[in-house]
Amino acid sequence: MKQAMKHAWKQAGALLLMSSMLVVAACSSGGGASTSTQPQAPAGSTTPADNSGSAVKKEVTLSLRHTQIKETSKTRLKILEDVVKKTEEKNPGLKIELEGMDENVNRDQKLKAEMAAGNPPKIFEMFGGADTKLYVKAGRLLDLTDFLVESGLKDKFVNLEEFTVDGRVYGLPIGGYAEGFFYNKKLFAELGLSVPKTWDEFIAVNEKLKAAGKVPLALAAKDGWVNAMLFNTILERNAGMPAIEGLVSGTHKWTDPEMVKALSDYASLVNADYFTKGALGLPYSDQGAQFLRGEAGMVFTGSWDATRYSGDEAGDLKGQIGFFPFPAVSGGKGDQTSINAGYSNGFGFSKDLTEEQKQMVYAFIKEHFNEEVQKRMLVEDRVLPSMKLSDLSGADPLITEVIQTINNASSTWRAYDAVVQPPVKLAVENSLQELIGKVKTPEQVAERLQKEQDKANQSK
Amino acid sequence: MNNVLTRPWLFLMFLLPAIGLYVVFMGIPLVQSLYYAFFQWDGVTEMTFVGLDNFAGLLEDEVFRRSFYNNVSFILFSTFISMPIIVAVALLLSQVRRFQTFYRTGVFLPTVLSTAVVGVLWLYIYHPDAGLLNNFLRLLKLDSLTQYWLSDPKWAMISVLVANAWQWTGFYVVLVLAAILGVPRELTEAAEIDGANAWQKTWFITLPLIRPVLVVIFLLNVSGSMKALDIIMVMTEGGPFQTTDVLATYMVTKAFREYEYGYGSAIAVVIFLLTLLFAWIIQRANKKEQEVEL
Repeated sequence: MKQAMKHAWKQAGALLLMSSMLVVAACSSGGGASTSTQPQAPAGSTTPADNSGSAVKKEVTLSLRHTQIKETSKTRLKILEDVVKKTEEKNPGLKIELEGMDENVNRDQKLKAEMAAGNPPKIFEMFGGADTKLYVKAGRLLDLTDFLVESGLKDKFVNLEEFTVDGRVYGLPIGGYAEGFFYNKKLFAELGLSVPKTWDEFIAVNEKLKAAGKVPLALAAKDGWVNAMLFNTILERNAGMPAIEGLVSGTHKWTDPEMVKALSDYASLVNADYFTKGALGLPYSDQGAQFLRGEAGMVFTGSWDATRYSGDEAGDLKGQIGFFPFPAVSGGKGDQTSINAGYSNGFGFSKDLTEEQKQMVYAFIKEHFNEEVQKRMLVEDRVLPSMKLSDLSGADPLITEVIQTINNASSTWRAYDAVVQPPVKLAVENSLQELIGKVKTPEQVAERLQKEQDKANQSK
Repeated sequence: MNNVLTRPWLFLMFLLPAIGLYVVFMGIPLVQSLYYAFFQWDGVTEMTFVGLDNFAGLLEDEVFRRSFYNNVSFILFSTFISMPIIVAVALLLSQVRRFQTFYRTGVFLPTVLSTAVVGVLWLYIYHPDAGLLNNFLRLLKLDSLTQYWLSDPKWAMISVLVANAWQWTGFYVVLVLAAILGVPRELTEAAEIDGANAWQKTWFITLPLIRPVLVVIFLLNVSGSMKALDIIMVMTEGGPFQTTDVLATYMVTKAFREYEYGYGSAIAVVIFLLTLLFAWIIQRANKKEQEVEL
């Protein structure tokens, strides 16, 4: 009996040991996976060396989160890596740890969770507008205003509005975007079409393309934000930016005549069958593919697609694609020759820095935001520069055309989703899908949007 | 072994690792969601206590209701359409003498694929222009039957359901097949001697004997349907205009796209409770029936 007892004990012990080992293994593998996606807390790794002079090598580590992990963003990653290398060379003892992550995961989950917990990376890619505002409210972002003024960088940027909260600057844009129509120059020439300046001309162009058996407007509407782009501009043309801002403050309503007019204008494009058929089931990349196959005359999208449209995928159409702003809508209350353009894609910096780290962050900024790097991004990555450049030579013709369009615009304004609350944005995207699916009328959609807007305005 | 069972604390020690894991990955998140469900919270700034407002909001939320119906349609589809097919295929396979392994593997293959792969595969099948399905219909000169499968709200949900069923049928077929092959031969032989035909043998002997397995599959189907998420995410993301949203995808949309963590947590709690409720009902019904038979 005693022997059996002992045996049982031994077995129990062995089992326990094994199971606890399993737990440890499970935990450590989980931990291992997360450390690779988690910033190393560099605060502890700053070793206080002798502080006799400023040129002393100090071991400083900075974590940097970027989202350039796709094949298509290889060039931008290379530029970033070069900047990091240069910054490290100029500042002995500095180590910048790069960490790549999917942009949506970073924006919607990871960075948000870190902001809530207070442990974001020291440098990270961040969007201007609502995101920046939220993080400023949470008190996590480094205030760059004084540094930018002292270093003279502040005036070099085209527009810092998206990263400015209550007059203070909390982030720096890497590049900008503008939204408009890309069009197939070859097709336009064959059919004798010219770039439309007014809504009526625009409709006439659509009709002619349709009559020629082409899809006038390529669209993939599975992802709501894609169809919201064109609507956003139609909305501005009809109602104007002050009215869009008025939605949030309550002075304007979605049910106002000019808002409903915008929705019906959009619906009229749907009802005339100008968009790609079955668009609601197609993912974003499909609209570009259809356009580049030469099946569609125009596509409304952002300048970021210029990279693709001037790349190898364009095939025969390489160099045959142009860009024009949305035409004027007669009687509309908006600025009829303005363009939706912004500089919202950029870097943010953690407030939680030691003095040495802060100096290194400033060094990184100086290395990244200068004419040379911006030029490289323009020429190699075809990004709209966020800084004023004196020399645009060497840039891709399509990009140059986009930049000229922005320069010729009477004003620029930010996207509606930087103004309205996230639930309203989603409601707009769903409503547009409902219009495309022809299950709701513009009036019904307007009612619903106002209901969502009221709800969002009420909460805080 | 008896010694262990008579000592509660020793017994507990054996269970401790499992319980620990369960609490960390299941218990704590559950309690946390329940807690968040009473707040209005954007995930970053301060939380505001709103009591039962989130749950009250759910009752009036049209999209929430539609999402729930979509979950129910998952259950109905898997019960009344997939299950008969599964049993039929398994019965057929059990009769196959040659190449049984080949067929079994063939049927099981979709289960091996990850849902993301299955989703993308079916995206291609359903593609309006280049898709296999529409082109097949065109080949048969049935152009009028071609559809915008995933963009037409009439067809989107059913299209997703078919893709989902395709993925899981094989797994269940293998389960049922094992059960059928486990039915003692004597019983069917005895029935044969009594003059039963194939149909009667299946109906009165095989099916009753594999019932426990069918109940398990039904249970798996229901709980699987309640937490369905991945296939929708890959194929439609709830679209067009949220007509294919299920509770789980709606939860993700609310919490991570609209930044309403409290509301999202309330949905999560409801999913949990509903799944619990359904599981309980099925088990009870099953028990009752067994009692009646006894």
